[in-house]
Amino acid sequence: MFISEGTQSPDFTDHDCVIPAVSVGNVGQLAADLLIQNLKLTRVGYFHDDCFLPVIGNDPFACESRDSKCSLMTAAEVYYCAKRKIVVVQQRSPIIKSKKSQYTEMLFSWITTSKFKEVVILSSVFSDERRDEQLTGTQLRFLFSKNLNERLTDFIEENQWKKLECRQADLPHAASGEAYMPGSGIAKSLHAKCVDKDVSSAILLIFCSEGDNASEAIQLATYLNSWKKWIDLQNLSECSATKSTRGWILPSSWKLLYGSRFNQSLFQ
Amino acid sequence: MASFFGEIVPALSRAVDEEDDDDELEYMPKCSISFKWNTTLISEETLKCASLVVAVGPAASAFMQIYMLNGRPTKLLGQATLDRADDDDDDDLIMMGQSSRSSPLSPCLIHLLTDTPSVVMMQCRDEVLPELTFSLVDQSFSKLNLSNSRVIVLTSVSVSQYRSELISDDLQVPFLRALKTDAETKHAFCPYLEQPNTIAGLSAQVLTLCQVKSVACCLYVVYSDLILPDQRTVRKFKDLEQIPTFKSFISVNSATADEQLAKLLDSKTKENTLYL
Repeated sequence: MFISEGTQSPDFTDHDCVIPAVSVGNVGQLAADLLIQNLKLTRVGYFHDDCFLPVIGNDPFACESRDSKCSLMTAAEVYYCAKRKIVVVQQRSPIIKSKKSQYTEMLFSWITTSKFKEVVILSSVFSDERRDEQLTGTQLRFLFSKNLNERLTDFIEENQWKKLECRQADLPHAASGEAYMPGSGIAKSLHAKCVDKDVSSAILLIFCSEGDNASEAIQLATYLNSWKKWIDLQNLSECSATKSTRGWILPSSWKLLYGSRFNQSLFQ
Repeated sequence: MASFFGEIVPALSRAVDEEDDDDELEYMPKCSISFKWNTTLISEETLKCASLVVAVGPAASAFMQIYMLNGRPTKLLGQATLDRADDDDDDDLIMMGQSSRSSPLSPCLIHLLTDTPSVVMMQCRDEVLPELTFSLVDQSFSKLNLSNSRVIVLTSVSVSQYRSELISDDLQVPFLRALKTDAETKHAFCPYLEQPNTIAGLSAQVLTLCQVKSVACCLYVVYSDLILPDQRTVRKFKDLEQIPTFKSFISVNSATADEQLAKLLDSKTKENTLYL
């Protein structure tokens, strides 16, 4: 499934891997876009498989206008930074419905052969499925594998991170004690496979609804960065250009969210 | 989620459908693609081709038929067949024009130009279901040796899907845009497709395969404001004649070609007219 861009496949041993799940609002994927843009990651390979619906476009992270240059983007790509030992997967199209299990299996196989130190899955959950106490306060939640939980106990307490609560007792799925994450895509199944095989795995998620989910993506990326400390956002957010985005530089592919400009004289 | 009238409606998402607990067997595809090859022309080994031209969609396919294949000696190298799981026509297949009732034709035909055997033309008249594109491209390319080859993909898309800083009234429709793989070093003839626009479907699958296999490939897409292929849209591909290699693919006598095109598109318009 993974095809390296160069002749040699890079060594991902002991790297952190960030995988966005196609979830409600595409928040995980948008957050991955922020990481790739701001960490200036370079593409090192592709996921080429019959699981993905095909999509192509021009370079989504281009700085200037791209009608004179072309760097092809495909449905699923792998980005990398050797210095920071980070690998970020970006998926731009959904998985074909009948192939979700197949994709999860192949992704997990790639994770184990690559020998990542930690796997972080970015996802989101339908906000209308929240419990009463989740309606207020931070909308960000986490789920850690057992080994990560033990290692980060102090961090969780100091930063007041909230673990995803179990479902209310009188509702379906509550009795099993499993996490209830509607709209989170393959996050739960992939995390379960990692936990089962003692791979350090984390899910970071946010409650949201469909719409303009850029702000949720910024929150989720900031949440991840507060743990990993990859980017110093404090200094960047002083700049007026990035004040509203909490220091994150937005990719050029995020423009024209509501479509092309229209003729204003239509509404006089 | 509560609606305006107080009823509970399920929350919808552009990214995910119902919970992943659904049985995946329900979504198993009802059809598959298989390829039949002309074994007299191609046997176990792959066919070396210097140039491959792929036409996707009715407009590009009409252009290929009239301006590239007509009046030229060609042989059918291979064709795809849609194998349905059951005999009933699926609504999706009918809409895509690929049911046996609406279109008995193959979704993909591969022609070999007998006068220039290093040139292969792949004609996909209708859009194939996205779930089948990987299989179609994988099978069709399996018999073609594309190392040191150049691939050109032609397709058309509705201008309603095009996003631009320009006001839509200022766009001169139809217009051309291009995308190319990293292995293609030559500059495209027209401006490249700007972000945040994307291309999906069979054309995207061809370019994806060429990108991962480092094959030089360039996609030319005509943005059109009409649903059905029309002469202006089809003739827009003729602008590519300014590329020397592309010009060599065009068969001569464009006057008769224009006449044949008008006839072909006129017959299609009559089939699809809403008002008798």
